Amino acid sequence: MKRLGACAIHGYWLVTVALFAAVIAMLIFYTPVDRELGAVQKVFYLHLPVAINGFAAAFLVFVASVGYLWTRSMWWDDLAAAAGKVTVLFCAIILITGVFWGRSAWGVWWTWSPRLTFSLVLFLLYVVYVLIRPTIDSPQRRAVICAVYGIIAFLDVPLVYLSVRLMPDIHPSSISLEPAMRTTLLAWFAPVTMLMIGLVGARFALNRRLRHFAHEPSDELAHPAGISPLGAGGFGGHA
Amino acid sequence: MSGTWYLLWAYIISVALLWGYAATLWLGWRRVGRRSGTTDITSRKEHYS
Repeated sequence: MKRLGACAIHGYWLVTVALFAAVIAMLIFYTPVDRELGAVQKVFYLHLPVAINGFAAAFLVFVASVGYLWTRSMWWDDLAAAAGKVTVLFCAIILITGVFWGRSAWGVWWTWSPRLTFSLVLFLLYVVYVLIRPTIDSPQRRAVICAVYGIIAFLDVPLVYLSVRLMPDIHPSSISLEPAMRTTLLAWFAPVTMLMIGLVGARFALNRRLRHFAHEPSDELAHPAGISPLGAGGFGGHA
Repeated sequence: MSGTWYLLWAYIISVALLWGYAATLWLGWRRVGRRSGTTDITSRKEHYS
């Protein structure tokens, strides 16, 4: 059974790597070059799936934060911490792919348009989320503060989405694609989504294991007085 | 720099970040596995209980 679990995890990552290689090959050999924007338009096939999955990771932080405040189980805090780090990574890639697109399409690396500004704010909000976690020594205090912060930080996600519709913006709100381009875009969602789920899952499992080694209570519900069979103690830097 | 170079750099940096982070997690698992006496931490499920 244990061997089966390890095989399933290895299989999952092998499929993710294979799909990633396949969509890159698809991008090079199958996807047509856009007549107006040229080759740089192909940044879009990574940019959009990463953006959607970045929002999904931020939503996971929100759900896990609510879950922690509701149940006081450290399981939810570990999940929120894992999703928070992946949100930072995905937001960084949204910004990086965006600035390369902007430089080629608009002639500037950066402009303070509503969507770009809210995207930068989203990235910074989750960078702060990741940075404040290790600074709080008490596991319970850290979990509560980060849960409240994780809920508030998520409010920026609808702003990123709606900004381009509600305010004048240089960022395109929708793009018409040829059938081959649409197929490529849909194909890119598969490995990027698998990667997001895999990274959150791997980080979450690592957080659980590190919490065990730090002798922190792994579930407040099971040990409401903070006295667990694992022992109690401070742990500052794992999540 | 042409559009092709911008495209290339955007993908190189993004893919490096994504898989670089995956590699750091893998190394983290290995380090934790060594502390628990095995590099295959999936075989030590008892710690999750």
